[in-house]
Amino acid sequence: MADMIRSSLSGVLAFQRALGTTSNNISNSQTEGYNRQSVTMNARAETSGGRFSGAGVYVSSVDRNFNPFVEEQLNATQSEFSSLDTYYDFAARVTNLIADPDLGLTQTFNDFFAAVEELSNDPSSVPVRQFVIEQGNLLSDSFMTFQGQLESLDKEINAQLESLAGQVNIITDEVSELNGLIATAYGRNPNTSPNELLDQRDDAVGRLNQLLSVKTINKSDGTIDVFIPNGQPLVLGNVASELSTTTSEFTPERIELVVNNTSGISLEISDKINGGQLGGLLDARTETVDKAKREIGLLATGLHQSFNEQHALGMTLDGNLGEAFFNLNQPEVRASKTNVGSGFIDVSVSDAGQLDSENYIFTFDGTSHILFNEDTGAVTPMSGDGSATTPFMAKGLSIELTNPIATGDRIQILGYGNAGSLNVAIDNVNDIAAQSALNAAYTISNLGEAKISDVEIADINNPNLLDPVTITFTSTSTFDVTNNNTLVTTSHNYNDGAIFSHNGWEVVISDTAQIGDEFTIVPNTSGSSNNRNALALSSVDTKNVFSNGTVSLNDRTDAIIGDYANSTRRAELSRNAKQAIFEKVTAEKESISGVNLDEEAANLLRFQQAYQASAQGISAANSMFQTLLSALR
Amino acid sequence: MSFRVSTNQLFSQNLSSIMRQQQQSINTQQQLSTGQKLITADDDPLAAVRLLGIERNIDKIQQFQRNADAANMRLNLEEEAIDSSINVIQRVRDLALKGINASNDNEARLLISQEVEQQLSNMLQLANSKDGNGDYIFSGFQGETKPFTQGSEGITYEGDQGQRLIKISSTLMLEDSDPGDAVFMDIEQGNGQFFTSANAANTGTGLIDEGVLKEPTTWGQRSYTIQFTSPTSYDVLDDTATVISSGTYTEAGMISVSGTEVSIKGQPQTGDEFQLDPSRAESIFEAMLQLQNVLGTPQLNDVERAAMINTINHSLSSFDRGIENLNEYQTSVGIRLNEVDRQKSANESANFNYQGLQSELKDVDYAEAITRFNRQLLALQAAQQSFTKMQGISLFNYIN
Repeated sequence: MADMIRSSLSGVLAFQRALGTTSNNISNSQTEGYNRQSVTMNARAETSGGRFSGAGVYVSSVDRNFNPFVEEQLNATQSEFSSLDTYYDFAARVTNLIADPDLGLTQTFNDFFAAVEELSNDPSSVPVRQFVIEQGNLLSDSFMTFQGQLESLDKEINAQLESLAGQVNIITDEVSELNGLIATAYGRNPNTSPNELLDQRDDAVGRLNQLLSVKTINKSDGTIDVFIPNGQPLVLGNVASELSTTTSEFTPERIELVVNNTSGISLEISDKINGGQLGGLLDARTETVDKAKREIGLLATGLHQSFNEQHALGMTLDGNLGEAFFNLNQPEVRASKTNVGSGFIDVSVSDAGQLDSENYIFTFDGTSHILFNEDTGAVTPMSGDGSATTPFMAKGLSIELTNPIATGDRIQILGYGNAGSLNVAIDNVNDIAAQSALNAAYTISNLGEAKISDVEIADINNPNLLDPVTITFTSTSTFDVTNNNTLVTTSHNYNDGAIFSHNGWEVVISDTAQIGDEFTIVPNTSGSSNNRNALALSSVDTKNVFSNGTVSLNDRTDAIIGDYANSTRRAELSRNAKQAIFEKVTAEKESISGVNLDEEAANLLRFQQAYQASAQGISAANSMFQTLLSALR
Repeated sequence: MSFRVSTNQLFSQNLSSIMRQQQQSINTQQQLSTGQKLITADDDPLAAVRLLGIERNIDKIQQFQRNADAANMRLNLEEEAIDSSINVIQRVRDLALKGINASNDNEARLLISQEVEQQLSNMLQLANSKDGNGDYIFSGFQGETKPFTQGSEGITYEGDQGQRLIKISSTLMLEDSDPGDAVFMDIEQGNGQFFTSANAANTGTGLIDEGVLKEPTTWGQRSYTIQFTSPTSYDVLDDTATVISSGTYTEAGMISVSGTEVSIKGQPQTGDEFQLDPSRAESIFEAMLQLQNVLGTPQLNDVERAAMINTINHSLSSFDRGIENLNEYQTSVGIRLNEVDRQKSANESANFNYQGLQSELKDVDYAEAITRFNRQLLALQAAQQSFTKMQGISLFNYIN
């Protein structure tokens, strides 16, 4: 009977424990990171006299329903999803900036070129000229606004990096602290698992994965070590490495992440981090914000060069050749913060058609100067020697050494202009070169049928370009040429339909000429109705200027927008796909570890009944004992 | 083993499905309220980029239409000016014929001369027409310079030969005006190849016609002189004063002069000379001025009268050439106007097509969107109702 009481009592105690665990599950059903616990009961056996007999039950352990593999998968998906989610957020913002139907690049481009074309209808009109300047200002404003918005995104990213790094530090501290507690608990009693501490630590690792992707290694003492994917430790046992920020090598306005490890060494790890919000943020910075700056910089550089080149060929209302219509700063050059010397270079765009919106590093290895692509490391051969007269030339850039570079020092060159610096250089309406520079005419009393073509300018820098020139036929097959009434060429052979080049311009005279026939080429000093250059300017947007003359401004703008729209769309799709996977893995984890209240209610009834039954056993033993006693009385 | 579902999972799954339904109905609602399918470029990148191209084309076409209207206006003004100029020349031509008529005395001719002067000033006004922007039509690139001015050297051209090109489609450009010197001052004298004249010192009453060119190569664009050696015989001299042929004069008979033929009427006297010269450009204004002067000068005898008729004949030729020249420009302007009209309707239909494409890509199909919206609302409602039902039941309800 004593064994019966003992058995029943062990049952009462065990079910008490089971009821306690069920109540605990119910109480923690809303607790973040809580894993459902269950009680494992074993039958107790006793040997007496070589025979086994049942001796009740005992609670061997209270365990978490926890699958480390599912947990690992959940963490990995979690970190990928947070990364894509953050990335998508930024990509969508940049895309909406670029593609805004009213303020985006296309609209302002179209409006500006429409104004220039309007000018070709009425080239002398002051209001139309004013309109062209205003539309030019709007265009450069939209570049500036765009650049400004990208820079404020940069600032936002900086602030987020700081704050996320802070959060990482809080969590790694938490993990290292819990590691300590867990090690102590296991040290005290290796057979009992400190479930609540383990839950908290796993939850912390999960939250860490939201911020960046980490790998964990389980140690025999129950602690875990946490690493970023390249192997740099964030937590070793009960010690956490601190994540902090520093300014980037070339740009003080840009911050990078640094890990300060336990041996006191700081390592820059921005490009080592992937996954999580930090990974998404860093990816978004290079792939959307940086890229947008490069692309619009290149666009602005192309517009600046091609529009100004055409503008220089024309004549203003005051009878001067066109000055620059747009201003744009030369590509930015930045010395590395680690440079020992103060060497520096001057960089200017020599040919926008060859620019490729890449960043380059210029360095000196002790014997020669080297230019290489910052991202790919590919070395670009340069011509020239860096002097003012024969500067280094490569990738559409001209590089002049203004101060010798120390060996090993690095200088970054942005291979495109800063779009925010684009502005209209002209403020006087008369200075728009809507007119062609030179007009060709035949003399009305000519006997022959010969006609002269429009004048094409071949060399804008010819000092005699604007000299009035007369071509006089001395026979049907020869002509004389005078510059400013001075005879400069006699008896030039006349070839019907051939190009005649002189003073930096070209004309074609065709058909039969008679002796004494005259043609004149004079500067268009007062021909205010001349619209030829306005016409040429209005089609600069379709002229192929990029990629060595194969891609126009319009093509490029469309390509950029298409590119952004596509990659944002892609980001959104993979984010949604990842979200679906994340939800699935979460369901799997919940299915193992989550609390189901109905199940707990059932358990409550089950354990309660078992408890009551066990208690009944004691009472039965008691009455058996009483029966026995009364039988002996 | 059946899949366990935790209470939290049940809750959050139901909730997130409600949120998704809500998000979808909001998107549809947004489409319905804006009337546009594309809310942001990344909703449909391909369509967004196509749309950019289409919208740019629509903008361009609208600009081409404005250009075409501007060209149309200027060309119409030019056509009007040329039409009226032809009428003026025709009127002056009639006046010249009236002036030759022997029934007119000096006073009558003076009146005719005065009308020619009046017509000349009309002609000048036409040649100095302006367009709607206040630019002169016939002054080439010098739109602010009055093209024709009357001074001590007669009427001179102050413009140039520039022609504005107007773009009316992505490939088509055309001139919206013609330079005034080519229109009014590039008129070939005489018959267009050569012109005849009588020496001012002639003492006879010989009248020479404008002649015809028979063999251009024999003529070789040279000057010749018909010199009367007696009232009945003549020599033909070339420009080096060499006699190349001789003949006997019969009134109105053909005289062959090195590949050309002229005819002389009346009675020339010994020593009278008639001249053949290659045509040069003459201004219609000069021809009118000449007519005005010769009609305004009183005639005393037959010899002076013959000189006058020779001059008037020359003017008549010039008027004919002038009308021909203006007709050519009239035709050319007409062709350009047709081209503008044709291109404008081509642009319009292109615009129509582009707008169709634009609407296809951009505009929402209301019937479809409303159906979708109703379906989504229904789904949302179902999700909400099932959620509350699911939350309402628990085993704990039955434990007491």
